[in-house]
Amino acid sequence: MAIDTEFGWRGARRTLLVVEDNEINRMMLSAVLEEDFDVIEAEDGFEGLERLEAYSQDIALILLDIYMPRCDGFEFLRRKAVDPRFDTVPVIVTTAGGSIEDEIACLELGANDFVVKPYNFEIIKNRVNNLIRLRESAAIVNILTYDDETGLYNKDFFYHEVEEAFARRPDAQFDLVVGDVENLASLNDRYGEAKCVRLMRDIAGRLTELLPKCIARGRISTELCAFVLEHEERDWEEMLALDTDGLVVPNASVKFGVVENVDRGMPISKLCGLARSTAATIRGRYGVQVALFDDELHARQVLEQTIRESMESALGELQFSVYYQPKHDVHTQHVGGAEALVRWSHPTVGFISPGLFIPIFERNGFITQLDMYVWEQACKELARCREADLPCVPFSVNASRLDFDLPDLPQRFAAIADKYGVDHALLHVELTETAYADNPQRVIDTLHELKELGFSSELDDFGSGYSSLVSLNTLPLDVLKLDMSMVRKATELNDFRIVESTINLAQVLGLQTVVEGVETAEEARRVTEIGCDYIQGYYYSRPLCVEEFEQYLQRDCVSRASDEGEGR
Amino acid sequence: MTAQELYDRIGGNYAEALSRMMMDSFVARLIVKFVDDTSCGDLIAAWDAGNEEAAFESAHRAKGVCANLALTDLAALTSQICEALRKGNDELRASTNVDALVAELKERYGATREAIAEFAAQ
Repeated sequence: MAIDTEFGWRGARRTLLVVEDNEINRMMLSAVLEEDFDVIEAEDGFEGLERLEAYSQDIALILLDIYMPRCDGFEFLRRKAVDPRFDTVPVIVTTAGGSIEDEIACLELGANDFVVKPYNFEIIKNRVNNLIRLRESAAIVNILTYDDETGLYNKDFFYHEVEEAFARRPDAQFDLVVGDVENLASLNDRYGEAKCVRLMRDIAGRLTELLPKCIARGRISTELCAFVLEHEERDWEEMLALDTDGLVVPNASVKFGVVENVDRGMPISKLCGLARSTAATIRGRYGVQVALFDDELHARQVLEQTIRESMESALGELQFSVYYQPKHDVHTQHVGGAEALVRWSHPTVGFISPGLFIPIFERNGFITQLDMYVWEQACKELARCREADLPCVPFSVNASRLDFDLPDLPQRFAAIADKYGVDHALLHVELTETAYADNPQRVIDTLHELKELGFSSELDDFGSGYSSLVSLNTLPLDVLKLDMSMVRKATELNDFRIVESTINLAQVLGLQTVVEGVETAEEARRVTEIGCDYIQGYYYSRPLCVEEFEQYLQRDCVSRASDEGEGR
Repeated sequence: MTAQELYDRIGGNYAEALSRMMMDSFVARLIVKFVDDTSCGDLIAAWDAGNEEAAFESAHRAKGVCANLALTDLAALTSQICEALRKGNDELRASTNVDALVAELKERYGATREAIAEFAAQ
């Protein structure tokens, strides 16, 4: 019992295999050891190997006699040593003593210890327990070191080894390779876990062959293997030409992200993150296996990270501001409207282009909050213009595809407009064709509701993407916006048929037309000739901050008055 | 006859046997098994047949089981034979009268078996 408490350190009873031909010795061993262990008996080496085969998972230790008929202890040890399943099971040889040669021979064949007859059970039990404990501690170290599916280091140990290597070699330079097995999760669903485990093991094995001189190899997540090598000029494409033929899962693909001369000031986990996102840049691209990390890409990633991390506080801290780009009526030349455009001035990064942050917000859903913010600012500005006796021209406000997922989008827009007492007719919702393509019926329904509430709608970027005439017919639109690129292309080809037909079509459908991106007098003249109603672009004005916009309106107001005066 | 008395009669050390096997009943159970144990018999037969190698292996086995059972006299005898027959122990082999030792073993082993048979028959 004392032994139970002292050695029952993992709670479970261990199983011993006693291989001994002499019945009396065997009975004695079994009887005494059964107090503390489960005992399986075998009468000679062959039987011992059979038992080992049958109970290899259970047997914690073997007590082995040397002199036995058929298959003696030496033969047993020889056969056990070549089978990896049994190799680590410890063996204590029981001998009648007297022969150092026999004992040495047993130790050389892999026996861990020996005891002499007559048995001293206190010694036997202690040796048995010590060896079991040693083996199990080693097994724990193993668990803490290796990933059992691939045989590579596990993540923690890999990080540890790499950091040790960095510390040991302060002057050396290192390269990091991260291999990302594409779509492992869906492969798992499709082919089952067992096959994917084999896939990862085989890939790890093949990569180990491709990268033989590594400082460390690790599996850092389910689908990622990482390798650190001493820096050399290498042709990575050639080096990482992984042969995927014959893998258990067909069409498995690995993308590699490589960081050369890693910045040793960065933690290895961060470096692996960089390599991983480098690999992600070529995800899904057929025929491209390796992406090399570069600073430009890094700067972009850092900025994207900054954008994601600071977007919410930016809204609260009023880092977003709304600019207005005037639209001019081609006939009167006066301001006939303005598009509200969001700008972000970040306190540390500075100005961030909407071209950069809007796609991110569209992906993570933050765009809806931002669109609401811009809508409210536009309403506020309309209210100010009214109070300042400035001409009130309609504002176009962009609504993203995701906004249309809000079931109460029209009501929200109306509530905000009403809060500032703004006439709904002064607000245009500007949407792109991509918004329409995703869920056409929902967009159509929402636009009808908006129309009923008195708002107008504009289709942006017509002609720039996959424009569909169906959208013109089915959407309850008021304004069609064309991009200047369409006009420029027509000018280049000296063929205006499509542009003119588009404008004609819009007129037939009762839509007003705006061309945006107009930069020169020549372009303005051209657009006017074609028959468009409004012009937006740098030719008249860049987007203006609130103060500038109000001054612009003021000036326009004065010139309008003088035009009217002259006209009279 | 108690196990203690049996051990005294056959030149064994009952106290040692009991300390190893912990219970008198277990000592009694195992000592009875010794009648069927072939190691001493094999040793004698191999020696009589002139097969020294087989005699050595049997002596080695007999030495182990006798020592485990604390059959002190038999363990000492079989150990002496075993060491004399072990390869490389030429000097010891030359100075040992193995024939005499085997003869003594025959006698003692016979007496031991007889005594155990009596003990078992009780």
